[in-house]
Amino acid sequence: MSKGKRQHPLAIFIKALEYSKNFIAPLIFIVGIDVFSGNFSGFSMYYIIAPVVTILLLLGVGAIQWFFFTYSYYDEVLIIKKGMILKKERTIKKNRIQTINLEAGLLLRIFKLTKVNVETAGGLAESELSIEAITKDDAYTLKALLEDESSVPDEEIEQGYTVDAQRLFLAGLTSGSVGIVMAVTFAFASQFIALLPDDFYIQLASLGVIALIGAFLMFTIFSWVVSIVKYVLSYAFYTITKDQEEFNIKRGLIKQKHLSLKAHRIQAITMIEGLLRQPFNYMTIEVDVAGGVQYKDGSKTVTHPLIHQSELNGYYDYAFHDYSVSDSLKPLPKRARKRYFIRATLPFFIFIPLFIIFPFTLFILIGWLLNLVLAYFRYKDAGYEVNEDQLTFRFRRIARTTMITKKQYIQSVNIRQSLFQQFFGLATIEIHVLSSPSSTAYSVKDVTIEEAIKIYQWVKPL
Amino acid sequence: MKLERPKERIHPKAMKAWVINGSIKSVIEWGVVIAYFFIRNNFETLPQFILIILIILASLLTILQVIIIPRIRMIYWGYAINEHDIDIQHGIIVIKRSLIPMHKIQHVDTEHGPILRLFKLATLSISTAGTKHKIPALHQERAEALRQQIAHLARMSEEDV
Repeated sequence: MSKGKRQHPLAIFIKALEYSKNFIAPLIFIVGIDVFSGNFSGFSMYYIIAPVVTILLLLGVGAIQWFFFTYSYYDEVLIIKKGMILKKERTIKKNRIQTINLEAGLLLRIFKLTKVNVETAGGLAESELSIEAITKDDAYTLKALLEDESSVPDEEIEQGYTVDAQRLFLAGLTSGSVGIVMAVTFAFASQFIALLPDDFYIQLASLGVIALIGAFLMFTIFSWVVSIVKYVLSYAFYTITKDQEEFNIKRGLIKQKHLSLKAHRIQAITMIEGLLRQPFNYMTIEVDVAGGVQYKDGSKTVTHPLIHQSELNGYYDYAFHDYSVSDSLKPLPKRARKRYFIRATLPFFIFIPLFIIFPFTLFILIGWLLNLVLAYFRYKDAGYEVNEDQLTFRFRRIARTTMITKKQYIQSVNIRQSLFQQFFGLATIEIHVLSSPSSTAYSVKDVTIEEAIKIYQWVKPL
Repeated sequence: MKLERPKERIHPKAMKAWVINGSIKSVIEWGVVIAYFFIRNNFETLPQFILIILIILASLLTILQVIIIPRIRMIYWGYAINEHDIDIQHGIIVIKRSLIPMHKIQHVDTEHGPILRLFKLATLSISTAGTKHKIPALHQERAEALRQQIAHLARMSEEDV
């Protein structure tokens, strides 16, 4: 590959499509307003000429980019050239490359193509580089060249962990993203509220309470179904395999993603037991990764979408054999419970003037009671353990989370003590681990100060 | 058991710098009070009690910024640097203690504003891949020496990830 290679010509179309996305939303909105407000003046040539010209322009831009984009690999260096007027040439040394991810949407899959993301260390957007569309064979050859693999991996004969249809559905059902879907749907719908006829609210009011509750239920169920479908689409055919300290994670029904991950880049493992999952002893396993992998929505790399407690040990033996799951975490001292209850109560003090002026707002206190229940579980679930060079933290915000890391991955340790904590002899212990693009903090509140100092000194290599 | 502060202290001159800093802030705050006073002279509908509150606030802030906070800050900063790590503690009401292993340090900076420069002081800031820590108001020579020492030590310890 000494001479620069171009991408598959489909890349032109993909680029054009990508750019056209930016036009679609405003277009629908403008036309929508026209139609709703009764300004729609019927068909005109404008409705044909404008889109055709736009599409041709976008295809032209795509074609220019495609023509000037070449990639080549020789002598341990990947070279990418692009640009017509402003020429750019990037050289990446092989040993600086952190990950190579393959990703194929529906269109690419029809043509047996794939997108290649090459990621280097460093959190900047600059550190990622994509080749939009090349054949799968080329992609695997490139991947093998850049990753020191002698052979192209056989796609089918791999053993590892997969998620069957039933489990997948269960995971989608309990994913807890209903709230997000509802918010998005609502935000989208609210764009059109201004366009509703004036007597809409009068009609709405005449429907009565039961109809409103029914509508709300429908809305919730609809959102729930959408969230399940979304989940299933992105996690279908999930498989994780480990081969010589390298993980390969594949997932996705329409858009397929293939992520390779070197085991030593994993900085911390978190097991997250959501409210809907914990009662059935199910949890999600995610990892913090140094460099490379990052997602637009800020989510982490999932190394198992939904695993049962009883499968955990087998899974760790397979995937994270140098870590161990502990079932004997140290609990917090009794006196910490008071602090958790106080912390759950304080925010509600600001409502006191409201209670005095409008007594009916006392229903807010239901929120306080719920918060107290949550606080009790936050206290009960919190724990920590130091075991040789491994540190385990368990804490709860909403979902119960257990974090495991190793001493050598800790970026910094903090002990924090508020005035109250000083009085009770308690402290918050916090560690930072790398997690691209920067770092993640994990903390346990209200451990005894003695224990906090012990953990602190464990990190201090003296 | 209590957190024992690391041995080294920031430079005694730092207090003077903080007093000056606090004084400048106070002058600005009194400026607001005076501005309100003159505006009220022209628009008499503005209530007088706001003026009183502003005066009380400005007085309290002045006492805090110029007299109390610099002294307390002096007592509460402590740090220790050895070949393995940097240990920093600070805080007045909330105590914060941080430990940064030497081989996790990505870069060290010294910086000094005009007031710190007047007293030949500098702030040392230490960055890891995701966190940033500061030791304020060291003597410039000390800060520079530390910067080189840390850079040297950080280079010595092997680089992983």
